Amino acid sequence: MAGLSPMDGAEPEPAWLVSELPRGLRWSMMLRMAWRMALHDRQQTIAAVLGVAFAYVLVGQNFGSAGHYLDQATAYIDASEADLWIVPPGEKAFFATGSLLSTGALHQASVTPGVAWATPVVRGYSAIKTPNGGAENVIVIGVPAPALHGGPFSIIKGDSSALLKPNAIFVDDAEREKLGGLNLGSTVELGGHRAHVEGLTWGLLTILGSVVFAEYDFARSILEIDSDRLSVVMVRLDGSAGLLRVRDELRTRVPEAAILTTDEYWMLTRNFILYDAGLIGVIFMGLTIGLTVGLAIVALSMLSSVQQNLREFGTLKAIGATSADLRRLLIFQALGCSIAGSFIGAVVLCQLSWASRSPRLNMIIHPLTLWGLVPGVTIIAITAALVAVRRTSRVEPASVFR
Amino acid sequence: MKAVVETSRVTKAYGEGDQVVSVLNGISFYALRGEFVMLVGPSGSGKTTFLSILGCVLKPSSGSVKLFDYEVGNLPESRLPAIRRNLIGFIFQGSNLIASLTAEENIVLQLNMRGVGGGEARREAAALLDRVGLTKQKGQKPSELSGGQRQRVAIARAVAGHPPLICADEPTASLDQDSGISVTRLLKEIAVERNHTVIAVTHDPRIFQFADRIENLENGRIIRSAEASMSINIRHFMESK
Repeated sequence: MAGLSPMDGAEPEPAWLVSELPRGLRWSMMLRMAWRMALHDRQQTIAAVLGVAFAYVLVGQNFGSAGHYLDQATAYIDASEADLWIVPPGEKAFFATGSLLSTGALHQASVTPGVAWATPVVRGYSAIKTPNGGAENVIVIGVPAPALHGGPFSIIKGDSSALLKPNAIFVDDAEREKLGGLNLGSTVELGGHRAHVEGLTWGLLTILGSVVFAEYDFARSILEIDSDRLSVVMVRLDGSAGLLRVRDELRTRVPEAAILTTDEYWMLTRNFILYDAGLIGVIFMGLTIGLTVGLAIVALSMLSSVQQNLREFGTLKAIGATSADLRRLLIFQALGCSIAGSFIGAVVLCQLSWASRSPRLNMIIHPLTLWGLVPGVTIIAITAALVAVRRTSRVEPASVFR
Repeated sequence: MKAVVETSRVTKAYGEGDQVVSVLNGISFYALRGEFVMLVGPSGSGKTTFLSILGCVLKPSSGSVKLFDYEVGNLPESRLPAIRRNLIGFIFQGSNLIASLTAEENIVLQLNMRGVGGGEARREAAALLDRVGLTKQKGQKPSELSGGQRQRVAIARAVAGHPPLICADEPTASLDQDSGISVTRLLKEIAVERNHTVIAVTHDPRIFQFADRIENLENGRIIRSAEASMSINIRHFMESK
């Protein structure tokens, strides 16, 4: 330094004033500091990590449950082999039962080129009387024998052919207890008719009730649907014509109905659950609560850590660190908390999902959800760090002399 | 010989309007290369504020502050960290070591700040710890060291990377008599060996013997200067105040 020349007038600034630290050295120094300070302030670090994990689990659980409800809503569509669906105009979802179609739609579909089979389905809400005198809502789906193209699906007890027996029904295994401890051979009163449980399915539930399969005519009588009416027609193509071509042909032949591909019907049903049934609001609320609580915990933990180390931050500034260095330090800590919290959150979420798996309450945890939550909670952690950064930026290096 | 640091009519005031409190009232001062200067005076005389300005951690309200003849008193805050990093080492009253780092890491951190990295930083830190007699304590954290040992590490940290100017704020305030003298002796020796200029604020007359010059502040002004080498009885000098 002794060789530094004085500045007079517009002389260049001395090297000690303009020299910059190598970026790599600056970053590695702050990374090391972040790590060591995080380890040193264990309580605050653990609290911040748990805050991230909490937000991760809360939001993940929210998405997982929403995914479950959406999957439930389209479980019947997913299980079916239909390529096209002929549905009443204004149809909103498979389980949002509404108006009926005439059987003419079925006849038109059956004779349309490219159609392998077309099968009618009746569906509607009814109630099963329980032994305690109450009643449980169910969705009755009637499918014609002997083909049984419309179900029953996901059978875990009994054989689908048993549905051909008089007054036979299939109920969902998850609802047996709720419906009065039903089992194979049980007799119940369904919509004022005696019905015999001949089979059990698994996982065909909706928010509005579980699915009960019945033979087509028996279901019509339960639901009081006339013989010339039906709910939807499922259409399977034989592969000789393109999907959209057959759909367009059906639209010409059955103008009084809506013709939807399975994908369209699937999306329509999901959109109904999301927007009309208000699931999106529940998701948004869960998301907001999860993120807000997570943010609060992480921000408080980081602020507490900064508050506790104000003198050290002042010292760092006094010995040459810049505000940008301290910002990097806190953001490194936030990223560390985010990675650790995400890992813990993912483990907890997977455990929760496994522990709660059941047709009625489940969490659909997609790998994409697990990864997708990481940037979400990282944003929380960095936002929290920026709150703490505001505090450190106000620390004056001169404060260490007081 | 040129001054490492030189001030002219430096003032510092806090507050606005009727609430203005003047802490420094036009201090002119200099320190030469290798000089050990002590700033003494009663509490509230402005010693620490003046040291903060010399250390470029505080800007003066008016006046000139020159480092190596370059005016730094009017530089924006954003440019001061580079000066502190490159030119100034600090020794604080309470050592102010980073609690989460070991003794060695505290020194390495300062070396990193001064652009020395990797193995070179570790080697220099080890040499400095050896110089201050704490080789065995290099892996210990500040909480595991005694007050005297912490101040020795603080000295090693301050001189790491050979900054020309060392600013020390009450370096012996938290130490017992023996430790205070021993730490100041060490600081003096290292400063002589490495040609550092040391400016130390102190209340401690026991360490005046190590000063080359003593500046006495009162009410924000330097009111008396004494050359230690002129065999002035420093204690008497202070008592006469």
